[in-house]
This record gives sequence, structure tokens and C-alpha cells, in this order.
Amino acid sequence: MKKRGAALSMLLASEVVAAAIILLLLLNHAARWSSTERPYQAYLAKDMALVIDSLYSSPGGNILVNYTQNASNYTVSINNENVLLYRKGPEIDDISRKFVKTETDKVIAKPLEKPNKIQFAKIDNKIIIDNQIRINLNTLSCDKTEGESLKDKKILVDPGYEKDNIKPSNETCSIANSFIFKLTNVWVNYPNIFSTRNLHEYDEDEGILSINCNDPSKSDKSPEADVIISFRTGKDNDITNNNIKAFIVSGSGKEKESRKLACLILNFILENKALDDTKITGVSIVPFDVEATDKDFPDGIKDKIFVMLEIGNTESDDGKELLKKIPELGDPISKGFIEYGK
Amino acid sequence: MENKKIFFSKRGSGYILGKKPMYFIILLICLTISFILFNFAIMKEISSTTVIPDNLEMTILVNRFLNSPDCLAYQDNETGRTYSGVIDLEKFNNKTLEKCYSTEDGNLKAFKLTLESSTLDIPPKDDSNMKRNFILTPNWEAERYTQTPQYVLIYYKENFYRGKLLITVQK
Repeated sequence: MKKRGAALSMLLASEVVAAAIILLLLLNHAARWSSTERPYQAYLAKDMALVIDSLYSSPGGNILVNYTQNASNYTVSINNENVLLYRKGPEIDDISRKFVKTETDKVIAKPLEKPNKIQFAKIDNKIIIDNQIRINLNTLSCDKTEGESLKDKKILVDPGYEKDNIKPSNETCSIANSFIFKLTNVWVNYPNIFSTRNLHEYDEDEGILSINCNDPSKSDKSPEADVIISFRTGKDNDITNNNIKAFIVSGSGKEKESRKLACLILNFILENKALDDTKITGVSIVPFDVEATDKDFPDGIKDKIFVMLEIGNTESDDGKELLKKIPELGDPISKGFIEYGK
Repeated sequence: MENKKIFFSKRGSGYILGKKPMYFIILLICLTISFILFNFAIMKEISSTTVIPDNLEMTILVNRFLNSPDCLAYQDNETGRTYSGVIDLEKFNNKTLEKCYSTEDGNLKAFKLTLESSTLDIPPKDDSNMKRNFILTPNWEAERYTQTPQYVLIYYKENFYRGKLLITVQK
């Protein structure tokens, strides 16, 4: 009897222990899942998925969203279809919510561990999620189709005409020279560079080609250029504006190519870190009717790749500052030419 | 003493080996079922506390169809400007919709978009590529649904027409 009694109590004890373990597991699980943080975690995941859905719904243009909810207790991991939030690890305490992707817009995101700040951005065809997005919202969406390289094309550089002062302005002429210098230094052969103004004799030793900014006369050499770029300074009575506009000929046989070149130039200007301390309020591409404008353009621009850059606002301090940044402007403009056709 | 009869025979060890495992198996099954039910109840409770209003989610998704140039919205090639709420009839096909609403997940909202116009034949008689006046998202299964109309403009061959988009959302 004693032996049987001992076996019985052992058995009951093991049952109690097993039941206690299972109960503890259940309670632990319940506590974990029913903690007040779980609904908030689920809410954050759904909310972020909706933010991404909203970005997909935007009609174009660049958007930056500063996410205002606090997600600093979680790791946020976003892929092409899901927002996943967890504290300890995926598949341990994660909650995920789906959003509906598109085939054109790609999600670029890395896992963010306990982020104090989250930003969502839609730039071009990219949806970027990070805690500190460094982008310029003025960046334009450029045509992705391949263009023919401009390396062996004849490039006509027009530093500008002034109505009452036949000399080109110092700023535009210097920018044009900086552009020519950068271009001939790394890419284009100097015989392919022409100007509406007289050029200095090419210096073989120094390898420098430049426009004679002090010569008021127009060049009598007017080649059949393939690409024409004009430089002008902008003027706006609203001194809060300091824009860069790229004028292209509307209805031109090369309108698409001109737009692409203008777009690349403007984006390279915006991306240039050397101009970070200069406030540029906006950039735009403006198609114009060449017959309906009173602006003075070089001859034969209609069916050429043509971009006229109107840089800054001479009425504003920011504009004046911008026009002093000669190499900082010449460099990105030349990069636009080099990038075109890649 | 009755219990003892149930759990123990005169040769107690035989009962321990014979009936206890069965008892534990049944117990384990019961516990698993209760665990799953418990889990499900908690998940449902969490979901219910974080429900996003149906209309909000639907509006965001419908905006995608009407606003995005990658979806149905008309975009001027010359200026690059997108006209929100103007449907480009040439984009009104399942292929475009699949590109801009790329999911086959039945748990996500599914849409059927029907376009009507009193001033334009839909599908147009001169467009053999367009066979019908409605398009479906890839996850459409035609179960329970609700329908709401929305007035839109339709762009077709450089002209604008008044139209109505019937938005059917699968529940």
C-alpha cells in the first residue's frame, strides 16, 4: 500500500507541475499578446502601410512625409509589400500589415531600429523610408529613355545678349566659360565648342578654350550646331524667389531631347553639395513658343537640342549669391551634358 | 474510491502505462484547441481596437486609380502635368490596373471599376483593343461587395468627356 500511495502522489505531483507549466505558458502568452502595447504596435503597422498607400496615390511630384507617431520602441522593417514591426525579433513578437505595391514605384528601405524619427518620401519612382532622408524636393523626374551621346556633337555656347549693353553680363559669361572649361577638360574636344561670342584663341599649352567676355561683338562663325545652350540671369520683383528655369522650344523637333538635357542639368545643379548654402527656391522646365516671345535667342534653335538656363534672381540677395558661384554652376551643367546619352 | 477505480487497477502500473498517455493526449489536444481559440480571440480583439475606417482605406486606394499617372490619371506628355480625376481612356485596361495595383492577396481590398458616359461610347467603337467598360484588380473574386459612383472626366483622343466611375469594392 505504501508503494502504491507513493506512486499515486508522485503522479499527482507531476500532473500539478505539468498543469502549472501549461497555465504559466498560457498566462505568459496572454500577457504578451494582450499587453496595451500590442494594439499600438498593430496600429503603427497599419498606419505606416496606409502612409505608403497614400504615397502611391500621389499624382506625381516629390513628397516628403515626417511621420509623427512614436515608433521608437520597435524595429521597423519594410519590404516591397509589408510593414513589419517588432521588439524582440521577427516571428517572436512581430506584427505586419500589407500595402499594395505597384510595378513602377520601388520601395527603398532598410530596417530601422528604435527610430526616433521616420520619414517617408516619394521621389521620382522611388518610395524611400529612412530616419533622415537627404533629398531635394525640387528634383525633377527625367525621361529615362536613352539619348544619343553629345560627345561628338557641335555645341554652341551662348553667354547671352543684353539689350542696352551689348556685352554679355559678367556672370553669365563666366558661367559659360566655367562650363566650357569643365566640358573640354574631361570630355569634349575643343574644336566642337562654338560660341555666339568670339572665343579666345585656343591655348595648346594650357588646353584652355574660353569666350572673350570683354569683346562686345557677336561671333561671325555660326556653325550648324547640334546642341545650343544659352545662359541668362533671371529677374523677379518678388525677392523671396530665387529660381532656375530652363527654357526649351515648344513644338521643336528636338523638344523631348531638350527637355531631358534641361532636366539632367537642373538635377545636377540641385544635387551639387557646393551649392547647399545657397537657397534655390525652385527649378522648372518652361516650354515656350519661339515666335511669340520677345526674348533674344540665337538663330536656328527651333529644331536643335536647345536649353536656355535662366539662373537666379538678380533682385534678391540669394540670387546675387548664386550668380557668384561660377565653378559650382559650371560643373553640374557640364555633368548634365555628360550624363545625357549614358 | 470511485476515482481510484477509474484510474487504477489492482495492477496499478499497468494502468499508468495504458491510460495515462491517452489522458495526456486528450488533454494536450484540448489545450491546443483552447490555446488556438484563446490566441484567435486576442488577435481579434487587437485588430478590433486598431480598425481603420473602411472609407478611409478605400478612399486612399481609389485615389491611386484617379490620381496616379501610373494608374488611370491622364498625364500631359508635353508638360508632364498629371490631371487628378481625369481618366485617360487608353489606360483603362486590366494591364494598367495590374501594374498600379499589384496584388493577388484576397485579404486586401479588391476593386471593379466600371466607366460610363452619356457623351462617349465605352468601349469606343473605333477602338478594337478595348472590349468592355469595366476593369478588375487581380485579386477580384466577386463575392460580397459595395458600390459607389464617382463623377470623373474622361480623356480620349485629345477631347474631354463627362463620365461616371462606378467603384465596386469587394468586402
